[in-house]
Amino acid sequence: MPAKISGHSLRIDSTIFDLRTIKETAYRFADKFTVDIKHEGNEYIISMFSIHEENFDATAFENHFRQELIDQDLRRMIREETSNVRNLILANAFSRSGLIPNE
Amino acid sequence: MNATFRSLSLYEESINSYSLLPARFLKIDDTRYIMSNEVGEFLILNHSEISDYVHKRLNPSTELYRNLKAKHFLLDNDSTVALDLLSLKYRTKAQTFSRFTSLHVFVVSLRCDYTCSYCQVSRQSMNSQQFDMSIETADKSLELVFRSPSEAIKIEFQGGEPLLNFDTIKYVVLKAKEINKAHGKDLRFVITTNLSYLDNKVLEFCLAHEILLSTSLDGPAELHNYNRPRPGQNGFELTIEKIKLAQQILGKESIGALMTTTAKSLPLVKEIIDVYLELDFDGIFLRALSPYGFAIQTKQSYKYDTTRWLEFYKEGLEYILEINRSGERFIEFHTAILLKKLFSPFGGTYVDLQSPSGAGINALVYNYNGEIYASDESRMLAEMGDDHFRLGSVHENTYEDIFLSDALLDTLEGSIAESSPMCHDCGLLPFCGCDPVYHYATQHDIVGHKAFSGYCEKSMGLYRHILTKLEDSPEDRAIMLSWITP
Repeated sequence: MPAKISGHSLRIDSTIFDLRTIKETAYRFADKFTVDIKHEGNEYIISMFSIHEENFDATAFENHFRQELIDQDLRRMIREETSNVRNLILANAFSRSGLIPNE
Repeated sequence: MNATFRSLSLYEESINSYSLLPARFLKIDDTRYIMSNEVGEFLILNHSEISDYVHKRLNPSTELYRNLKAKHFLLDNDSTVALDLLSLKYRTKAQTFSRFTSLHVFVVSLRCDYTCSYCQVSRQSMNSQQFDMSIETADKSLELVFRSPSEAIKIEFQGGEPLLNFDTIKYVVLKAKEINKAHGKDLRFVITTNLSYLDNKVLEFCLAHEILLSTSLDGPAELHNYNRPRPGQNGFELTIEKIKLAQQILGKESIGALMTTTAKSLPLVKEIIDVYLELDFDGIFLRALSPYGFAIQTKQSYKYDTTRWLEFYKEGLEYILEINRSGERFIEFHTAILLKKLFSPFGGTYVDLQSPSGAGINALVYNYNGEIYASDESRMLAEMGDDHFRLGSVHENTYEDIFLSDALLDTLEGSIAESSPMCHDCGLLPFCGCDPVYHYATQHDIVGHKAFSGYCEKSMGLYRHILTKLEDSPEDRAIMLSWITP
């Protein structure tokens, strides 16, 4: 029997949150919801469809999603600032490892 | 003035003068997060602390700032060696991979006298001797064992019931010791057995060659005999009798037991622990049922979900902490493994909790017929008809064939958590893994979608519970940390 689907939409300011961050947030809820993302003007419209429940608590879920979105945005900021230094640490860690002949 | 103290200007640095270093975080309860870095240093922080850290609103004079700096989460003008130190620590951790494959599992027979519904292999009947490992296969397997760069080699005999092919066990032990004279490795042996065929002859051999025994004990008689049926329904009584015999002859430290959780075990965690206490074991490993072998065919693994298993674990841990509070040292080994991952510099070598996975590089399985698998779970899948993780055969392939095979290299590549969705920015990454065999078995994809992963749910649930216990109860913290202190 196909899963019962219930929907809920929320709007995200696209000048504050980027699409990758929204997608990464949605990915984490994939066991509970499928999503449809549309870009209109300065907003992303996220339509969520519950996989398991017909009558789910939309407000609670929206709060959960928005909290996770903030966390994903913090992760993005860390990743963007530290990707070069991370590569440097790893390159330094594996230099002079003897893995490359005649090193 | 003598330069004993740092300059005053250092403490007057304006806010926003530091750089972030790589960090990941994960929520552990309603208010707290674990934030970790590439080398496994971690702090427990609340959301506003993480937000202030990322937005560079921290004042250098605060304790939080000093902690973040000491644990290499930020870099300021006063940080002179942070990057070198992080590189060195990362390199030291990764270096353990160069000494790969310390555990070599010899499946010396598929025959077994038990008929356990959750049995993780396709056991064979007692008279099917064609499912025993031959001397020729044992010889070829040993040639590969001693190609491993690892300085420590553990050969573990499994089945079926391995004591049904005790002649091959004896042969492998004596031959391995002979070969090792030229290698000088730290060579040890374990027999994983249901003890049915343990007698004085076997015990004398174990004593002479310092062989450890590991057995299965699921709990009180009714539960054990239900989970592990044996003709005569005397499995529990026989196991207890033989455990006591082995303890008496080999010493208590030379025999251990493992339990497997089934749906019937879930309301009985205290009773299960009591059985281990009565036998004077120094702890118990509260294990979940794996999704392999007959367990998946008989739908056992779906009779209870991970959430229910976590409740079972938490109830058991609480009971064990109570026992410790009353003055008796008794360890929950699952917790101890996770604590080692959190607090030991090298994190231990638990195959399931590392990136890349320990498949093949921590353990290698030699089946009775010479086929080689990346892990015991890989062999179980093969017994179910899927040989995705078969690495080759001792009769057909060289060591180089096996370790450069796509089956192994693709598995390792797919198990690198640093490049897996959801894992790559998870605060538990340094203490966890991806378990490609589990995800292949349950999702037909070695990377797997972690939002649907029982493995991920279990790991997160365990770590969240342990971390909150460590934070909230100094007494429990002291007890749990004593479990990983020699």
